[in-house]
Amino acid sequence: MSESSNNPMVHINKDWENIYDTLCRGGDSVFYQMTSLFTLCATIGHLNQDYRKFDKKQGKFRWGNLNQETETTILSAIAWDHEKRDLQVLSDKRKIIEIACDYAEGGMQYLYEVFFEDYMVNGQLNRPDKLDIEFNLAQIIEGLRQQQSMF
Amino acid sequence: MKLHRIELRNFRQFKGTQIIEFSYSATKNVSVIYGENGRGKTGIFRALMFCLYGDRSLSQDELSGEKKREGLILVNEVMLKENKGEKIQASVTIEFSHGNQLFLIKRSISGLMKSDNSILQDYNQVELQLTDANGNTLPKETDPELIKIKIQEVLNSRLRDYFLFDGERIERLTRNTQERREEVRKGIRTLLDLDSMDLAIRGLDKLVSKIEKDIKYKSTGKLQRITELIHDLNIKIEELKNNQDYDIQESKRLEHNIKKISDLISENEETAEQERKRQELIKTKQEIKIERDQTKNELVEQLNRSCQLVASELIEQLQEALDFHREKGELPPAIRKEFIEKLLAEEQCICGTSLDHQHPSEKENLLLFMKKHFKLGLGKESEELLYKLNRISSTNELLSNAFNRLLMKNKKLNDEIDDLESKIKIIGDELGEGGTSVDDLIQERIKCEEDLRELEREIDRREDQIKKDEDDREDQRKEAAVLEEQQDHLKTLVAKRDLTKDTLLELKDIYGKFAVEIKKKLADKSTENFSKLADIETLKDIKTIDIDDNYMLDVLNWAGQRRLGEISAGQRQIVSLAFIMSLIQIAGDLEVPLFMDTPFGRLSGKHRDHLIETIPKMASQWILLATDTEFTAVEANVLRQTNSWGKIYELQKEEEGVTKVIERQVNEFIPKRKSIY
Repeated sequence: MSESSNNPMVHINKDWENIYDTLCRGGDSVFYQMTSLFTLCATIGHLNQDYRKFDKKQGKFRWGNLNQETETTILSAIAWDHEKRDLQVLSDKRKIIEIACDYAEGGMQYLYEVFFEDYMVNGQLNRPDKLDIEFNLAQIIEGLRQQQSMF
Repeated sequence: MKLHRIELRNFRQFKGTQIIEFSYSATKNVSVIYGENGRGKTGIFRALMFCLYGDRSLSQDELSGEKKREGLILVNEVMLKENKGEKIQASVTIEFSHGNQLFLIKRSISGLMKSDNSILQDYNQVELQLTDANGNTLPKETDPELIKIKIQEVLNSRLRDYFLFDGERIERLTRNTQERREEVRKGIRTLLDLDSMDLAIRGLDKLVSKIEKDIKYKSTGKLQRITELIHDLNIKIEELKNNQDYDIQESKRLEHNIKKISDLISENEETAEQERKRQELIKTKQEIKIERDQTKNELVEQLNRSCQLVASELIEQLQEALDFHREKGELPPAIRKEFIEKLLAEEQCICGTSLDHQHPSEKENLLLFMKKHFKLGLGKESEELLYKLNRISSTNELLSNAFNRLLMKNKKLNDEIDDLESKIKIIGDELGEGGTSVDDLIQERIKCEEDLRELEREIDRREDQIKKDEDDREDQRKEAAVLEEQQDHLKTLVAKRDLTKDTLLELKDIYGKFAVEIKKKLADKSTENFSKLADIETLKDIKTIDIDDNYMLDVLNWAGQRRLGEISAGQRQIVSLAFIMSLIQIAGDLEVPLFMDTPFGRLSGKHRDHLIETIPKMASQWILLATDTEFTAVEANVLRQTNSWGKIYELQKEEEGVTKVIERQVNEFIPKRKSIY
């Protein structure tokens, strides 16, 4: 297997780069790593069944950077469900990442519409003094979690 | 070092000659200086710093530039006014012992008030007389440089900021995270004397920028564009950092102003009660904010695992699917697929049975086995995946409960903060309505507070911008490095720059290693102090004090969990005291007099009593500067019972600008207040 199929690159939409940077870099970042935010977006996209292709791709990290205990597991599960529950996809990292990227696009679109859009100025995410990003994100996630347990 | 006596002559509010004899024996090592706010308690510490080091101001005065150079007016202003046009001499004389030697140091200053009431000050001289262990007095030393060296040997001036344990510093350490971080970082820098290293690092940084500038001028094509970008970023980052330093100083100045004004408003009869309420509410709000920050940190930890929660149903479904295949025996056995493939290739089983064309059924069985157990998608990765799914699933419920709990707590704390802010605003508005003699002060404070809020927002924004630009610059540098390889004529400059950068990284690495080592020492020492200063109940909750990579001072309980946000304000104050004491201990030892200026602040009676009983045993000499609200009959009684209290002086106001030092008898002294309640 070639390096790239064994350690495929994860791409995000360039439009979301600032959001990733703002939330994942710096001393008071919300997410310790970009992989955390990416995986969260993929799960949200999958939950909402919002699978979106996108053009402006920016390579951010590789399979090897993902948490091998949780993040790779969750992304594998997403790919399995997407491929009509065919277990064969579980051994195809490139496919898993490809599917995850498109669900992550949908997930980030969702977060943008319900939350980030109000705080974006010229493509930059502002963190005004009173904005409690952590609390607001946690509430959104709790809402999604409760939504899935209703069905 | 043990202080014996201090003689003040026309120094600050101490008109004429006034003497304080400190208690310094092994059994009686506590002296109390008692007086209301503004009577000159800090002035005694100020006199000590002036005499020992020639300091014209204290760091807490937060002067800068010209004002810092000039210092405060140290000559008694009443004397100057009474003798306008004449030179008035002021001096401070200190007698202290260190080891077996006796030191007598006198430093003087003269002042003159001109006809336009402006004041000129002139620093006269300093003299030091030493008496050795045999009682022989050496000739008086008058060379300021030699005296400086001698004093440094006794007590290094780097520690002067920590010599005085003032309530404000102790409070800062318990406040919001940025201030706490800054205080700890400053303490470590002082201890390690990192200023010179810091200068070296900054110097090398500038050198790297300079060489990059040269590379920029000599490079061509794309590399030229990138180096120009790097150069612009260098300038931008430098400017941002300079502005940041300036604004941080400015924010400290505003805080200091706000405090001064608040103190004045508190003393005014018309506004005292409302102001007291307002300050109480502000303090409560700060405490709740600390708790909320702590909750937020925990929430962030959970947020980083929240994808598990959102995908919990999917995880269960895949778990079921894989379990189903495992029960059917379709997940791979312990034996590896590669091993079976090897057997087939060699046409021999491990039991010795041949697998060649003459034994088709054995070969067929093995092939069927492979087909059954090594289906694509049901390989080893599925088995590992199932283990991971099981592990994730088992933590989901706990995660979900924690998430919920933190959300509710965060909301509750946010609501409390909002409620307090609105009450603070109401009182602020009432005070601002006017009609009192301190209206101007109130308005000034409102303006300072608004300016401070705006400044803090700007500092945060700029911090993010600096980080972003530094990251951008790093990306550009990586790109440039690739292109530089291709441009031969730049090789020498590039080599120079790389060497400088390597040196810079090395220096930063050494700096970092020192800091890590000292942080650990400080944390250990702080824990040791804390175990002595805190009462039994507190020690049940808190095990250790920790300083993490980001200079955050925190406490850990017996389960290793961070708990600073959950302990009381009084307990946090003890944490701060323990930390500050550890700074002194690591830098030298506790054989220096501990000056504590109103250290009891928000401590409950129980904590105060415990500190009063413990500190005399920990320190070689304790000089307590206390107000009437801090040192009541209760505290006096507890201190008397330690049998370590040797001296008490009361500072009384004689007239405006003049304080008299009156010695009282320890056994007969009755504080103005019965208790803090």
